[in-house]
Amino acid sequence: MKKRKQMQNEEPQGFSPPIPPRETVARFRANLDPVAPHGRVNAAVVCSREVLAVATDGTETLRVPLSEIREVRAVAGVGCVFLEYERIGGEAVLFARADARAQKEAVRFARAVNRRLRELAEENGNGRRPESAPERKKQKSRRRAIARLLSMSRPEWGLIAVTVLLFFATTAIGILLPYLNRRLVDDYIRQEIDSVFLAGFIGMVFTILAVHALRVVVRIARGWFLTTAGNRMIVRLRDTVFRKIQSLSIAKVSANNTGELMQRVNGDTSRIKNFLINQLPSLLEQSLLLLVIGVVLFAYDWRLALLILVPAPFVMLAFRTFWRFMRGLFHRRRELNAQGSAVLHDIFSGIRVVKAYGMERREEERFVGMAAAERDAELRQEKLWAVLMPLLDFIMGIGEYVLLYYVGRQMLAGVMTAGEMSQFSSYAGMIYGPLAMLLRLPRQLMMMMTSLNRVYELLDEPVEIVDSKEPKQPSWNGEISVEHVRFGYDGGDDVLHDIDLQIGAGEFIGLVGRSGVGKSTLINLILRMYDVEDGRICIDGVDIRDIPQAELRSRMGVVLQENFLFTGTVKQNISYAKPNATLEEIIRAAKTAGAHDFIIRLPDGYNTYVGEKGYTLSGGERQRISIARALLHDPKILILDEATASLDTETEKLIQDALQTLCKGRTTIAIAHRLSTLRNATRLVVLDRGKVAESGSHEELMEKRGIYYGLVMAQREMAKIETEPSAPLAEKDS
Amino acid sequence: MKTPPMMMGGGMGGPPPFGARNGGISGGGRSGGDGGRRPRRERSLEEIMKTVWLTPENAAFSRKNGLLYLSLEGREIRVSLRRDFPFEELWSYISVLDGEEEEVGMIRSVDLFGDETRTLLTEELERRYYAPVILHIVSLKERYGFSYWKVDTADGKMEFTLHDTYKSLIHIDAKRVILLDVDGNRFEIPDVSALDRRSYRKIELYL
Repeated sequence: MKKRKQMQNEEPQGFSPPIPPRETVARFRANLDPVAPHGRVNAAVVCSREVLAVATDGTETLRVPLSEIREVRAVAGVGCVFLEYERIGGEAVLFARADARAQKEAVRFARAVNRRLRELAEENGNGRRPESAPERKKQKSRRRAIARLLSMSRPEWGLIAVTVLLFFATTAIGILLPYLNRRLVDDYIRQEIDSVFLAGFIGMVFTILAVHALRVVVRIARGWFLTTAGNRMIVRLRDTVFRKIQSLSIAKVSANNTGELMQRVNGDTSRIKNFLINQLPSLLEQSLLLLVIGVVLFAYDWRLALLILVPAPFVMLAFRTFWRFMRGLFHRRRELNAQGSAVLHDIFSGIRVVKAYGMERREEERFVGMAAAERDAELRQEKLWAVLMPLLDFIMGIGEYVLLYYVGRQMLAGVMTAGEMSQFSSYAGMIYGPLAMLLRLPRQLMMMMTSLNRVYELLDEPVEIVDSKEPKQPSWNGEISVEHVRFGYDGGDDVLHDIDLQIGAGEFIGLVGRSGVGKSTLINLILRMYDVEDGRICIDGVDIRDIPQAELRSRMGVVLQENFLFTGTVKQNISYAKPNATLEEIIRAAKTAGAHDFIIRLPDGYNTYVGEKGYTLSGGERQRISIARALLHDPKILILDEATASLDTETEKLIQDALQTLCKGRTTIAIAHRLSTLRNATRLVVLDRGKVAESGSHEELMEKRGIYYGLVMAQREMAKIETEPSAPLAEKDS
Repeated sequence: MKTPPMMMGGGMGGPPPFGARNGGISGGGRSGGDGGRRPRRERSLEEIMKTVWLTPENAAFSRKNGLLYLSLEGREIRVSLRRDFPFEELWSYISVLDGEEEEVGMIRSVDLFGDETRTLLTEELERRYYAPVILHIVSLKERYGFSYWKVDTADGKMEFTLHDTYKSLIHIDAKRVILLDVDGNRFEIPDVSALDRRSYRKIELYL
């Protein structure tokens, strides 16, 4: 931990290659020797508009004109990253190495340089100033998290003010009560009784009762105001977080997994709420009490006050040690508990495998082992708790004995009354509670701050995909042109290098290629789930970045491999993108998708609940519902991403037929691993190494004997093995 | 973690979830176990996509031995009725299925037909979709995840049991609630807010 911090603080000092800052295209700091495995260096890599230069530990070690470089690559090692360039001749040269923290930086550097290289190639030394790389600046908020929380609670300030007042009231009452007790003892506990005395006595008792009642009322009111204010605030915060997450690009949402996002929306905000509603108030109350009692005690008798406070440091110390120790045990127990759950989850999810291999006994042992470890941890913790808690209580009580001694002597000397004694022992008792609590404050505060920072970190995340300020409307014929598109996921190498693709309106394009070649990425770009890095994608001549996102998505329909059905009825799922569709429209869409038949056989027809809690539909049925959804949406551009991959051949045929109707009159782009799926395609586009490798009809590509031919032949071999009698490809070509 | 898709009408442990195919009302053309998977006549895409709207002009319904028959294009076939939207449209969008459970046609609304046929269709539907309307909740006890109900319905006093009450109580809309009991029976409360106060108090926690 410490070492890491040191590394981060390490200021990159030293010499940079003599390149004027204005000329700089990209910079990179490398801290590992490119050649010596454990050599640490301090190297500055700078790329100007014309040269790539490296300065290692103060001396220039490399200077290459960009005109000699074809491409710069960031290559990931394990725990480190390399930068290399490829000469125009084809030979590659390693020129920098850094530890893995610089991974993203290296990729960014390589991209910036490559962009400049392409510019140079295009302009042929035209000398136009290159557009600087769009370095995203993190909107780092300088405002402190707490201040933001306070400003966010502005609408509740009135409520909060009332609550604070009520806090003062409870504290005042807390101080008042022992005083009243003293009066009761001093003034009314004596021998002679007359009517004036009796009236006063009854009045005193009623006063005490009334003050107690008042305290209850004030506490209720305080709780009510606080809960109201806190809950309103948290709902607003949660809403803000949720909206923010929805506005983020898919990249960000999938980078943080669903569980973590749920944790941010629910867990972190509840922790903040818990702190605001439960911990902060009692903390406030206790500290206020501590302060006032302290003042009262010192004002009355400073020696007495000191006596009461003498054990305080020891008590605090004892508590501190105790909590530290217990925290470790708590933590261990929680950890073991989580591990136990994980084991259980693992076994139950894989129960078929467990049973199939007859491994029940071994799994039982695994579980029993976990349970035993948890039991031991819990026992240890509980035992310690049982021993230490009474001890601590005793130590806390010591102060009172000292007090008793002192007060007893005072009383014997006639300086102090019994009532005063009762008042001060009450105060002494009240002082230790707050002290113990204040000790836990730093930890609670830290936990809350962690949550708060996590929430704000998310809120500060820049929205990457923004609508253009000057939106344009394409004519929506469905013509798509992909022009020199280059893209790589954040922190990774380029997935698509230079994609050029023209798709005419109403065309059915089959995207083919090995897995991981970037087919889905291309589709995500067309859907504008991400923005392209270079080049552009146009629909009917309009850059999709100029089309409002809502408009763009409303014209596109997507059928994915794993189609998600929301919890709700079949009808709600079909009409998801068109909630006001008439029942007849819904039926028509379902019929066209071949879904109507099975839907009406469900006992509740279109009103059948599906999704997580509802009825489980088969893969084919879910798929048909999603097709109906897409149909009802009536998109101009249809995207099928492995829409039938998870289905058996028989169902696939059915869905194929349904899809065929869906594709009519629309521009369709389909990805399919099973090539037979694409037999309706007007054109096949083969992607390879991030580029369009082949394009043409099935027959043309087969004749060409290229990548597509290889893929078809391989699948045909598979089909032979499976001896599928109705393998469509075999039918088509033989 | 998805449970594997169930066979149609296949047996399932415990009470049927909402919308399960082996729910209380079993399909006319199916017999128990895996009746739904009986081999069907191959239907072309055209047939699947087409909707035959049944009107008084092209269709005639009749009843023989308590069973419903449809005369269509000179053929007389035994049919059963299905509501496409059983929670929303009680008398419209009715699918008419043959013995093979294939759709023969659809009825846009039973009101299109003459009084006699309309009564026939209405009765047929009411018979198939049986859900007594709860008027008053006499008692409701919850124990070990089951709740035991004694109610007055329009069809008389009834007792039933729900497993996992929250899940067995289905909200159709803001007012309407359907209860699914452990046996697959259904009970309906058309408007919860219209229940008497004592009944409402009993059910309130589960709403």
